[in-house]
Amino acid sequence: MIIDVHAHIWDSNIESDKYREMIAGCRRYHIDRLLVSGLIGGYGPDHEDIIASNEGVLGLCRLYPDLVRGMVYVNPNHPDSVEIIRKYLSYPEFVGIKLWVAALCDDPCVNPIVEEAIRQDVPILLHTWFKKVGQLDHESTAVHAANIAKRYPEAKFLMAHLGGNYYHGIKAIRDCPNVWVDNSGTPIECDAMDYTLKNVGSERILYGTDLPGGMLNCLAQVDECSASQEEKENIYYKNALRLFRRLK
Amino acid sequence: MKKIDVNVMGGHWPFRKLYKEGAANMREYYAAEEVEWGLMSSFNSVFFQDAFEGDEDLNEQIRQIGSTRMVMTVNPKIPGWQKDLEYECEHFRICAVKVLPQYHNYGLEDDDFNELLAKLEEKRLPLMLVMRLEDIRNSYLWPVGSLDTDSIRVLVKRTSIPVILLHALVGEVKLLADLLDGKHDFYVDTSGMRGATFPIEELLNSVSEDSILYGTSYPMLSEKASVYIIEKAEIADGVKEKLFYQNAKKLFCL
Repeated sequence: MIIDVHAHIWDSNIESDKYREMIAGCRRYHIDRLLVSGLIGGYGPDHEDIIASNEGVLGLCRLYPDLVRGMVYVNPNHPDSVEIIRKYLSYPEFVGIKLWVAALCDDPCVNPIVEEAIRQDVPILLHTWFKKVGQLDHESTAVHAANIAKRYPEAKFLMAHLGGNYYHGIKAIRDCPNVWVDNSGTPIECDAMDYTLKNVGSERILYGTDLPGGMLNCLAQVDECSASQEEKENIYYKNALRLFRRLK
Repeated sequence: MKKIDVNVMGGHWPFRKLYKEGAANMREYYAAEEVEWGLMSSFNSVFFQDAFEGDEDLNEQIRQIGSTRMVMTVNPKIPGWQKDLEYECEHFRICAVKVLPQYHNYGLEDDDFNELLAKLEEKRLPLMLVMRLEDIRNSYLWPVGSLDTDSIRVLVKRTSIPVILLHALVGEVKLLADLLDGKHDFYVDTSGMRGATFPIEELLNSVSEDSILYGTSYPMLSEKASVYIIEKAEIADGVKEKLFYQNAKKLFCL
């Protein structure tokens, strides 16, 4: 079994070729569950963008009910974020919350979102990337992820992209037992997984891709790393089933 | 299916530990993936001021691996490469020359590069152009950019020797697709072809099956990623064989 915990739609046209290809990729490469969030509206989505993102994901879940599950996307700067989370988590298709780059993930405006996640017992997927060039103003790094995880030790966080640059990302969160990581979108350096395994162990690593791109290199990273078969099963699906309690 | 990997690396990458470097790991990779030949260049030669000293070390490493041909790294801005080229042709049996203009701070219109190009044309040695060695976002001490496709286009049109572009992304390959038509002596390797769900099928809509070469950038990048994009593509076995093996065998006369 393989669960891909990190995929996106970028527009509302969920029946377009781009998303048909994404689904076809899942079929060809034997992905059993795909956790999708909508990122419509660029770096600072407005209310309509947020609604369009979540409605698009709900539509995709219903188009492919055997495969797709949703992550509620919110902009922490909006006063109705918690209301939106409650609305979409009332649908059984949604299994978690997604934050991207509208605010740093340790900004106080994120606190009510984390508190709602704790109440509903769902994880929060945090985009993180430490970049030598091109860092966005409100783009979180693993240091921000560690800050929020320490502030809310009872919350569960999934830090995306191994922190982007895994040398910056993994050691920042290794002592935060409530932070898991996914290998989505990472450059295909073949040592990234082994480095992560060595520092946080197989029980905190989840398989992700950042679809609609990057499926094969993320599969290759897991298949090629030195993890045992049991550890690879943790990465491919067992950890996801433990972390996402609503996931069936 | 047997393979020729046109892009493997020896020596040391200075900015992080490569868990799978060294002759034993390379032999293991060759055996596991049925790699009949690897074309290897040196990390050290990119960063040493005298690239030749990196190639000398690489020659020793290649002896321990076997089934490997050397690719010489040249920085044409450093004097003396001409005699080194003669030496490496005679003693190291190099099969191509690799250049990294963005690391060595020159352009493809530079006079020193043109002198190198003329020498390669005289010797009929293929030229390997490195688009990037790593994702610029994840650079450590300083960021190094990638080559621009316009300058590559000009180069391919003005030279008579084969040009092989390494570690180009799918989007960059598409920008050069009209030159990857099997008529120009221009090729790309698979090491950078990430970011698409079906990269090979997508590229074969506009790129000739004669112009794509299996190459991994191993042990820097995942070798399985390059294997998978060909192996898992829904294309004829004959095409897979060309990409994995036959195109490189013919190009490098292996």
